[in-house]
Amino acid sequence: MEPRTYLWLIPILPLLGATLNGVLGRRFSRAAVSAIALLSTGLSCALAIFEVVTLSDVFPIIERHFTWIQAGSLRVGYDLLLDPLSSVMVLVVTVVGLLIHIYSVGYMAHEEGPNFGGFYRFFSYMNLFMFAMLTLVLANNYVLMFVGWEGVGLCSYLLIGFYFRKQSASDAGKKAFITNRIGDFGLTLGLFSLFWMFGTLDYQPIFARAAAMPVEPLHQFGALTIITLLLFIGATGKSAQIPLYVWLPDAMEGPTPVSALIHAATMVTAGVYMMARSNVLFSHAPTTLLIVAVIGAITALFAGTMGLVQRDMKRILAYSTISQLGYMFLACGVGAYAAGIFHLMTHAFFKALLFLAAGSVMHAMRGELDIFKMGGLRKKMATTYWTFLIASLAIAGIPGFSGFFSKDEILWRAFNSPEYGRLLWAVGWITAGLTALYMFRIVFVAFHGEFRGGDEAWHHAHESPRVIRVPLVLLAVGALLAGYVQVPKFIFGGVEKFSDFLAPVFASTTTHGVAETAVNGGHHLELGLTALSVLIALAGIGIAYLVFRAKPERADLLEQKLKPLHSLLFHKYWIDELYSTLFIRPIQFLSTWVLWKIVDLFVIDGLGVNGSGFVVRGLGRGLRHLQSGRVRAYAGWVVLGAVLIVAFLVFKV
Amino acid sequence: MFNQYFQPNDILIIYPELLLALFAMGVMIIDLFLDRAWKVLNAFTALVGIAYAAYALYRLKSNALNLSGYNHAILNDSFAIYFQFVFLIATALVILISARYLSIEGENRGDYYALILLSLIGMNFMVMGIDLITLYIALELMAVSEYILVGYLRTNRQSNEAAMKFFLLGAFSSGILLYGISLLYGISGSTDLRVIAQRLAERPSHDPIALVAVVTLTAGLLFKIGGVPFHQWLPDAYEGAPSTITTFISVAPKAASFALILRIFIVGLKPLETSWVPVLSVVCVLTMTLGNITAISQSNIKRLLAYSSIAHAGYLLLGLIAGNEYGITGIAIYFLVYAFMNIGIWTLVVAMRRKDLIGDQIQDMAGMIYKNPGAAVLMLVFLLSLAGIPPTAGFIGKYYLFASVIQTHHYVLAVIAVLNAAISLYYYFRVVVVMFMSEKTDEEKMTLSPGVLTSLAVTLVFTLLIGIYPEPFIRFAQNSLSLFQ
Amino acid sequence: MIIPIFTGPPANKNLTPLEGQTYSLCFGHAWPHFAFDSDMLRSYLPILVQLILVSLVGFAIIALSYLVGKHKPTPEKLMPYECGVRPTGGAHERFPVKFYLVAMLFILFDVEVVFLYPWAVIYRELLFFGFFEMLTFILVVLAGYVYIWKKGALDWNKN
Repeated sequence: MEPRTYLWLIPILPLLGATLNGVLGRRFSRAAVSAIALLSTGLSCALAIFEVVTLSDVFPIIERHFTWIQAGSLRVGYDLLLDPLSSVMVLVVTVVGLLIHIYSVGYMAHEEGPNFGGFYRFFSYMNLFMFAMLTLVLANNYVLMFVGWEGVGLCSYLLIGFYFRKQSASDAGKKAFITNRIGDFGLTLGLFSLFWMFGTLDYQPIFARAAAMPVEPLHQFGALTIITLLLFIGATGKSAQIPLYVWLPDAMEGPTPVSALIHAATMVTAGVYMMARSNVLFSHAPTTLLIVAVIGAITALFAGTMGLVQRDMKRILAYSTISQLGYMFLACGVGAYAAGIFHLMTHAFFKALLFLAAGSVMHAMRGELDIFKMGGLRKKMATTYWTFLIASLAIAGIPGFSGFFSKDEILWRAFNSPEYGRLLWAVGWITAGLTALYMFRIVFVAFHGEFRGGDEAWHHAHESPRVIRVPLVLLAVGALLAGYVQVPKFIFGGVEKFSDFLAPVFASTTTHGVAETAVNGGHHLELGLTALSVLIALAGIGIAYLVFRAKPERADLLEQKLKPLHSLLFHKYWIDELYSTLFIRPIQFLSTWVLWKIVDLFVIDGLGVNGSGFVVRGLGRGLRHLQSGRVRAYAGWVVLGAVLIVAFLVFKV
Repeated sequence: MFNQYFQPNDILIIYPELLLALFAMGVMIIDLFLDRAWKVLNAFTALVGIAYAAYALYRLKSNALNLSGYNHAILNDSFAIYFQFVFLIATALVILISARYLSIEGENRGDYYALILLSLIGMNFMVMGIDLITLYIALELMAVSEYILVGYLRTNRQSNEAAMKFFLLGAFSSGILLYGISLLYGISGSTDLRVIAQRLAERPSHDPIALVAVVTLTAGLLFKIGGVPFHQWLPDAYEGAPSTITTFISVAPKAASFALILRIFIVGLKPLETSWVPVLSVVCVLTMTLGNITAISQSNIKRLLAYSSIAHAGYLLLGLIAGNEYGITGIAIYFLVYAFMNIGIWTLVVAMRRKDLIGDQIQDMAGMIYKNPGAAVLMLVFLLSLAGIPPTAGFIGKYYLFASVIQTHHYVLAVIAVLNAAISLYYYFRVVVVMFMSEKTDEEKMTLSPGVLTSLAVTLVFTLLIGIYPEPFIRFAQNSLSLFQ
Repeated sequence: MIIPIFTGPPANKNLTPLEGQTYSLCFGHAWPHFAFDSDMLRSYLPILVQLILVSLVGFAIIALSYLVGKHKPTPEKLMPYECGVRPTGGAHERFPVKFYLVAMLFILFDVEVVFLYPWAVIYRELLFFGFFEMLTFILVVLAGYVYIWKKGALDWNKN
């Protein structure tokens, strides 16, 4: 007998919270708003844990509720799926989400009235986001997933532009939305082609049929390759990969909990989740996989270099996020989906932690984010400092912290990839060094040394309240321990709980796909590579220490010496400017001179609207005579109409 | 105690209507003994009657009864039951918004509700009847009640003028319709639509008498739904009538007239399809186009919506022209959708009415987003739905209608319809622009009575729900396919 | 004059259509001829006969009185007759609008009562069912009566 399951409640509870707060929040007290938001997220989280724990023996669970759309042969149901992959995602989303909700209660406490009742609006959007994200990961077909996909995009837009009175915030919101639209266009085309090819959009039949298809040859573009490429375009938009990554740094205009939840831990990983979910399709299209791996590696490296020279703490973290997402794409690209998801999970903990700690700093510094106006904050904010440090060690890949295990796994699998494996590994390896460097640049500049922001600011700086510190500590525990579910073989024989857990989802991939990466070379090679990456991480930390801590004037010196390089990095390779010249200006030109001045003003306004307006006014004048208000005339028209119909029939026949 | 003229079944199949009649009289009599302050009780009485009738109808639907009665003059099939549900819903919503409006107008009397219920009875029989005499009498019961309701504001010149015009032209068109009915009777010797269809099929095609019958029937029926060139009474009547009554006649009687047209054309005149499809196609194009183009230049929201409703009648004719299952489902679902979105938007127009403001100019809505953000957003949703933009319900309705003509290869019609839908965006968004972009002209906010709030909530929820999750509603609408049996 | 409207349902089965008989409507010669199902027309023959008879009688009475009577008009005879006194004022007096109201109400109830005649014709066949039906009908009429009474429509002196 099927066990009774309540998956539908997991997304619905936050929706309920969002609706309550959204509709009635204006009349609720802050305590009530927080209670509703926390309760709905908390219940959802508890339920998710309960369902995963009790049901993990009988995975996958499919809950079919009702037919949502029935058009021709397309049937889309509100069907939810709980399997190892979605349960990992659900747990990450609800647990991290809950912690960030708790944090937000403290963080948003100073949110005052001018933003149209910011407090309840914020929590209503956050809960709505939880609903959309949970729908995305629990969906059992592409359409429902797409609904969640668009829903998180909408919430992201709303929350980036949360301070919509600020021009830059509302611009950033629009940028995120439009960039994502480009990606979504690809995704939509991908879904259409999936339907065209398989006649359904439910996961199981598509994967079953795709698994039986032959693997398409490398460097050729078969149907599956095209479809997966289209899906991948969608993923680059949502997960901020080259070439659509430009929106994520700007998205930091949103409140910090938003950056932590949406733009670090959950939403931006949707692309990775979608590719892991469609692993069967991707594994049958080696060409796409190669492109994914290359794009991921390049993004990781580029974003890492851009993060090196930024001064804004949240922006550095944003580039770091892009870079880490690049790792996950790299993992998917070499067929190591489990490793990608593993990194996704550990990253969710330490990156959320980093953002929340940054928020705590921002709180102390009254909104100041330039790390060169900080310094020595360690003394004022012990909890924040220690948690930030743990997260930095984790992301840098220092052994013992969660990031080490997941990053190591990805690099090892990349090294073993048959196509350009060594090269991909090398790029990832360099990025690892860069990661350690830019992270410890923050640590040394902001938390060590002398304070550079003036006495008054130093006086104001203080540790955040407990409601902020508790989530930090909890996340730090996660960042420390989350890695121990998957330990490489050379350490005490290893632990493979995570990949075993996920194995059923990627089963068909490993039996049919090309991703059967022969783990050759044995443990010694793996150990050696690991040592190398630890080494480069330590080197990164060392350089950061030497340049920014031991002799801070070296930083300026270095900047002087490497002026062109610094400028290139600081201006983010002028990519924004490039896009502006390549796409935005031409489009603006086109829209100003061709579409607006010629098409709009002349053709549409002139000929179309004014012309049709002229015609319509003329018609209206004519018709007004018809609409004379005289009953006799109306009756006459009725008769005339009847006569006309008779005439029509007589002359027709 | 029964005999060959009456069966026990006969009473049962019109049980909802009997209840409505009882309540109509009840409201009228109870009203005589009510104080001025208690007049709102009339609305409650009427609502209870409707709820009771809806329950009876539901029981009727679930019990497998013999649905034909009164010597085959009445056929209460699932087509009829579906439309009766639509009427009941529309009428209930209208009654909800009436009480406050009537007391502002100072015309809060019970016979208003009695007339609405009587009109409802007429409409119910219009969809149940399969005999021309029954249909005609039902039509007149509906129409006469409407004439009085349109002129219900006795001291208002406009209302009186509208009622007079409506009455004269309505009577005129009824005469034409009756002439067509008599010709059909003359041809076939029967008033039963099914028998008429048989007789017509036996006759040679292009029979002139049959053609004249088709023409007169078409003219008479098109008048009721406001098809061009028989539409001219409609803007005048809509503008002059009390806003609540405009709400009512723009939905329920229109749906009833359309159901009647479906019965007559799809059942009775099916053999003459080749002659009426081209006629209706021309009328359909004229109706859509003229309705939309004239709407553009209106400054009065009631007139604008009147022309928009003419255009919608044009879209609905598409379903009849297609005449297939998609078309009929489309018409059925469209009226359900139309009941919600149109009543929703009219409710807002009704709510604009204050002691000192008639509130029917588009300019009266200037800056509504600042004064009544909720109302402005609701208005936006209903306008989007009228324009047929997803994910609102209006999209589902238009989708079915447009798809039906594509299925029957009337591509030109489909293209014209889509173009018209695009034109309609223009004037719907003009209202949006005024609401969202103009500065507000005064500070006074809308006051919403509980009835208006309920009506708004219901219409909003269903306008969105049908748009987002159309499946059960489409299945419900497919009940109307019993028309083909 | 009461026309016996209720003649029972046309007994179509017993009549055969007159085959081949055609009627022409005045649409012009180009239009094809067509046949009526004349069984239906037959069943209305009595009404036609009665119509003709009644109009003949009416015409005959007027014609006879015109033919038989003597005509000697004098100015006094041609004067409008008003109870033997000289008429004063114009013939078009203004009536109180109440008059129309009462007249309309009278017609309304009068017409409704006409419904009793066909019912009375087949009262025996309808049995008790017919009795209750008529009772319902009377109740409806009664409701209307109560309504107009309470509204004061029958009170001549009320404003």
